[in-house]
Amino acid sequence: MTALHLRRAGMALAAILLLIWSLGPVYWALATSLMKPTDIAASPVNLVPPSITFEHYAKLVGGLFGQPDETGIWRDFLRALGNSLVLAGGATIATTAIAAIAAYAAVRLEFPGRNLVFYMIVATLAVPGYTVLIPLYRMMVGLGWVDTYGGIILIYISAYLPLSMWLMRSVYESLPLSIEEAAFLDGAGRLYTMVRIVMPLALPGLIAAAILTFLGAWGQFAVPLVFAPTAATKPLTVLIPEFATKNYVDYGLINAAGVFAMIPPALVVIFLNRFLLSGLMAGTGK
Amino acid sequence: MTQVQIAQLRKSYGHHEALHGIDIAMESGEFVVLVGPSGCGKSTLLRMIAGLEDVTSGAIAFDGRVMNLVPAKKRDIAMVFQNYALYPHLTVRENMGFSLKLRKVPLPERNARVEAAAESLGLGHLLDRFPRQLSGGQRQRVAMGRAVVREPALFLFDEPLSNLDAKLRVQMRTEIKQMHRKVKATMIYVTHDQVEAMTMGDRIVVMRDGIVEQAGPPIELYDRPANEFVAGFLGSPSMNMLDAVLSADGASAVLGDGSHVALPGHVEGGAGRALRLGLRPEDLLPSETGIPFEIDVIEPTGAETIVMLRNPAILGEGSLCLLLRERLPLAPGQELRIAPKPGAAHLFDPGSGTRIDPVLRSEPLRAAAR
Repeated sequence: MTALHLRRAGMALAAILLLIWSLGPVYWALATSLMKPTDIAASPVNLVPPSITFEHYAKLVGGLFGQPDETGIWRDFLRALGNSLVLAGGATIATTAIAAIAAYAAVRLEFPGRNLVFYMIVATLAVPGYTVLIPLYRMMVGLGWVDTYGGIILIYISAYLPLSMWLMRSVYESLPLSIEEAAFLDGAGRLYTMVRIVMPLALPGLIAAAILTFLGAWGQFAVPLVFAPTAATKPLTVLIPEFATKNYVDYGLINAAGVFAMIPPALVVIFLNRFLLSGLMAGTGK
Repeated sequence: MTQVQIAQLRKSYGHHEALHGIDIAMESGEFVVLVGPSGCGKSTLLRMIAGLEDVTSGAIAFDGRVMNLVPAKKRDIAMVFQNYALYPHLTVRENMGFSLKLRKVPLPERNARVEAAAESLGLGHLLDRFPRQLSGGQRQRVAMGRAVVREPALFLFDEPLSNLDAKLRVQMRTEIKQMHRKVKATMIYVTHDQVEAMTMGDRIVVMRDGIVEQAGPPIELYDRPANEFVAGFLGSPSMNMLDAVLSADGASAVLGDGSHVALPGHVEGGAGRALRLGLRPEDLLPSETGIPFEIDVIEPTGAETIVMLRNPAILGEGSLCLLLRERLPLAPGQELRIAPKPGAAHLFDPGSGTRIDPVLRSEPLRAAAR
């Protein structure tokens, strides 16, 4: 064995460990969701399902296919899935759009206090969310926005906008100013230049901001726990733990719901990632 | 075709003033080159003309109309940027047609104009490529094409050739001149390269530290530089500058070793007046009766030979540059006697750096004046 072989073997081992570390929980959820309740509770634990069952999945979505449903779980589940999609999707679109415009202003428009405003927004990144939860709750109650999509999305925007703005600002700063100046001289106004020239070039940054916001909003637990008390707005993150009741923890059901909950973010990353083209900027200048 | 008048133009960034009152008048159809070392304010001036920088005070006018507050998009100016500033996500065709599309030129006409411009620049086969698929020289041409297609009132060039290799640079220099002859528009060209300035401009404006040092046709600036800076800036190799004093009769400059260089006329100031004597390398000739120097370095370029000479009594630690058109049998360490061509000496005041013009002595005129 040469040093090179050793190095390769070491790297392979590290890769395998990393894979187990990151994919292990995903496998565990998938395996558990396919096991019968008796196999889940068996000792020693079953690493591989001794027999496959879809009963947990049936409980979640069986109602869709006309199966009798005594528990009513599937209605709650689909509602929560829809809520999660609306909340995370709405927050993503709004946050990315505001960040795109606000960060552009922070980079290219000159106005007094420009940097102060920007840094004050970004500084809110340092404020832990739980410290403002109570005052925020009182505000939202006062406004009658608790348990509304708009209210929760607004909180998500305030939570994820600073990061997106920060990201977008560095994206805009990396774009050569002369491209925009060329557009002005070609007869384009500020808005036209921004939409037709700047945005296409900033697209990778926008996609990255959208992915970060979506993943953050999708996994958000504390905010909806407080602000989404009823089925009207309750997302999956709050619903799934409710499957664990005082008397019985339905591991199979929890994990089946968890597997469903993994799908949208995975799709978002896979789909949007295709637009994260590298080298889009190549060929602008010299 | 646009006349450009610039009057007492100033630009400040906070407390720092970058331009200190610039006055230039450009004729319609003229090719004006703004040249100077980096930081002289030439690019700032160009960007102010384009409308990309605000005017602090003074005025910029096109055909008599003050443009200070007219936004860039309404000035009808095309600009070629140093880094070309092509739109990376648009094809060559879309890049060149962008301004026409904004002006709502119908598609068939737009295509016709883009194709005509592309053809004349040798870009016809590249119209559907993206900038990233082009070489540096091709991108440069697209940037020019984007300007030409518009048929603007005024063309601005901001060091457009500085990213090209030497050979391409010479070729593009010619093409830009040809383009100027063809479109006959007013063009303002910024460069730090004095060769580009000399070869391209109808008129050169030499700038330094935010002021205009001298403006005029290239040969005039070369032959009669207004001050020591312009004298040293134009010409390559640059003009030799020697410390000298005026002779008692005011008709020659006395060098450090006591030798005399005849002046083209009479200079006031009396014996011992300190002078800066400027001699262009090509105005120095080997001569049996000339001033002795020691050959330090010989640099043959084929067409001509550059010889660096030393003589501590005259030059101190410095050296004198000589440009020879013929090939002489020379070797480092040899003595070489040289003499300036008659009338070739330039004189400058050591304090202010301004040119001193010797007065031609004419006895009959003097008598008449008496």
